[in-house]
Amino acid sequence: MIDVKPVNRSKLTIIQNSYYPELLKGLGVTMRHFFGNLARHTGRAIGLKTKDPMVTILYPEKTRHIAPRWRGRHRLMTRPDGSPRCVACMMCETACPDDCIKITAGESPDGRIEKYPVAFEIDLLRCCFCGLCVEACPEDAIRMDSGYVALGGVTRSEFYLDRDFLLHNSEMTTHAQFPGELDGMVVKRVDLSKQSGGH
Amino acid sequence: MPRIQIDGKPVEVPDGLNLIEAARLLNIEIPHYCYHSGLSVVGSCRMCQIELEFNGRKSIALGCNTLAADGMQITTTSDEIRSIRRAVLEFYLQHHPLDCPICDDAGECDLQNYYMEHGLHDSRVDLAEKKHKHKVIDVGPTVVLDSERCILCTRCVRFCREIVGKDQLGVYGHGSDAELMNVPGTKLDNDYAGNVVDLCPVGALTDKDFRFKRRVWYLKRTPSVCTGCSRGCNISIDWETSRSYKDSGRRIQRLKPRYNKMVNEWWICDRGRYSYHAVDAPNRLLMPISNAEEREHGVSINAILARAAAKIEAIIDQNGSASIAVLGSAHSSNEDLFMLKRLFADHLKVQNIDVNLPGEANGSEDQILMKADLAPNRRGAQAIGAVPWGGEGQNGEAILEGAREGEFEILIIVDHDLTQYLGEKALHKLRKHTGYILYLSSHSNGMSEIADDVLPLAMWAERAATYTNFQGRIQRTSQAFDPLGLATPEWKYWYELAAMLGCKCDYETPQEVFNAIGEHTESFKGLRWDDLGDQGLMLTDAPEPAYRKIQCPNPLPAY
Repeated sequence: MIDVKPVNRSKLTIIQNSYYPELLKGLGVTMRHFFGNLARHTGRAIGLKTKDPMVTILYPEKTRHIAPRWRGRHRLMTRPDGSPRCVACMMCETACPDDCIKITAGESPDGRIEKYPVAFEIDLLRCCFCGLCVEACPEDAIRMDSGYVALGGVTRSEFYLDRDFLLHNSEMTTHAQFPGELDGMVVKRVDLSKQSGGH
Repeated sequence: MPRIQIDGKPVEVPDGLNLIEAARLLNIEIPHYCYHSGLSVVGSCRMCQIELEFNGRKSIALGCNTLAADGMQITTTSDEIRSIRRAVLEFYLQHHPLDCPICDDAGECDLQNYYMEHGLHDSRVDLAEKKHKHKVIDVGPTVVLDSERCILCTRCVRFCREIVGKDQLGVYGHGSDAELMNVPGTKLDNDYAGNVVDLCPVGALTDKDFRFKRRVWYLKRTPSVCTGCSRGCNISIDWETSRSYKDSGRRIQRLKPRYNKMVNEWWICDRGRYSYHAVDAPNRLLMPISNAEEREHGVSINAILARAAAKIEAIIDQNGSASIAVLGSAHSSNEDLFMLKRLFADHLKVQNIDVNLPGEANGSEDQILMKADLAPNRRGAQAIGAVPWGGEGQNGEAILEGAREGEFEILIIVDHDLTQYLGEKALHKLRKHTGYILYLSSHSNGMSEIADDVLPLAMWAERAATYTNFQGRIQRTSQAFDPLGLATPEWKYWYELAAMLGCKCDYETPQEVFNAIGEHTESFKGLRWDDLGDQGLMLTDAPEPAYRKIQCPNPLPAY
């Protein structure tokens, strides 16, 4: 049954209509933090034990602390000899809910490895950063701990990562499995268009 | 007819049936590796053990090697049987490599399936102690062997000996050193080598053509019929279209045989198995081409059909139907040929209709499956009557000869590439004397270069159709995916052309066309699309052939 439900909207008073009280309230919050912070910084400066002052992080030269399990841009792990650890089993492609991973498998020149990815492409624009590919990988070949969180670009092709880019896009070589390992890490700004990621 | 009880369910089974087959009648699956319905019994895998109560005695028996006898009582899932299966599986997996992620069989592997169903044990063998054997062995031009994954069921060995009659694979070594290998001095190069990949219950034998292309769980399966020769083996098309931009547009990933007792049993030949490459070949015709007008402007299918209809009408008014020749194709389906006959023979009274050309491409023939006639539907063309008629009609040879002499004003050709039959001079003459050539083809070739108008045809995987094999068995295919580009099934062109020429054929789907064949054609009398089923039906005037086991005339005995 469809019925009309009248809603009583109280009219604004003249004071409310002028917006000044709300404007001043808002400015008050800004001022409170400004002077509070100023007092704390000054207090610190002269040796008083004041509360922790707020800090502006000088992004992008510095970033906030990244938790160890933060999921950033993907990277592919390598074997000691530099070849991809990936065996192109397509578990990540199967697990991917966004259908953003495309692997083309090929016969590896190394007979013991047998199968390796001829192409490994990730469409970051489709990726929802769920991390299921990392969980699905039986070889620990794909990780999202590259530390890169500043994912920006101006063309779509910059977000289309190919195998060689994924293998070499991270400066990290060690496992990021220990708490705090990535804390305070300096994040470099990478110009993706100048690397091998684009097509 | 022994009466037995399986898991408490009574069933009457034919004589000489073993217990695995008997259980199948009740849809009970007894797990097994070495047994295959088409091969001899060796009983080496020990997986099919069941509890047998017979003559008051209880025992553990092999399902594959025990023939059903009156009064047998069988239990397939007792605790004891489960523990036996788990123990057998543990032996199989003791040294089995842990490379499921890169194994092509993962997803359709019996070792995986039975482990999940019956095994679920923890390995007692340390990873470092696992025994290693040879990997990636090139056993033949189409097959790769990984002997580490092999469970020595010897299905492939028996297949080569019993069905193909060639001794090309064997198990060498004893105990845990036993390994599958080529028989020394041979390669697995017979015409049926691809079947060992289907037979292999694990991922030991993999197909070079399919290897690493796609994981099996992405594939969709459509039942179809092989159109590689006139036998018409039943197949399944395994296809995937979501990534066809990769792998040079390959949509069909592989063909697998489908059981049909009277045609191909469990096997197909390699010629048919790898014939699908033509479907996604780069020279497929995607658009109609008009060579008569400016080529680059493009032309619509309707414009070509309208032009063809106008020319046909004009020529018939002027010279009569004798100056029109129609060269159909035995590669076309029953529906195509029926519509062709309806339109040209029945309506336009064209007498020069044929599908046969002398010296058409012939393949090798053997006594197992392969037939020399590479056209899948020559029998159907005869039965439908797409042949010269009226006493004055010319057959294919005469049409070819006449075309060379420029007897015909209009030449309508399906599929046949006349450039293969005629020399350059004759082609030039043909082109000069013939007023209008309409060519229908799935691939571009020499003929599509010289014809006036070319229409693109959909191929067998892209359409539902029926084909009549050399025995007279009508079998239907299903559409797996949409045709490439503007390609269309042949009968649809005839349907449109018929509408333009005032011939009344009101059929919207291939099903309706086939039902119409059943109404109008003597050999198809009373047959309907829905009745064809999975295994097909015989033409009404063709005798049901006697059952013949598909194997070579002189098989080698099992070990």
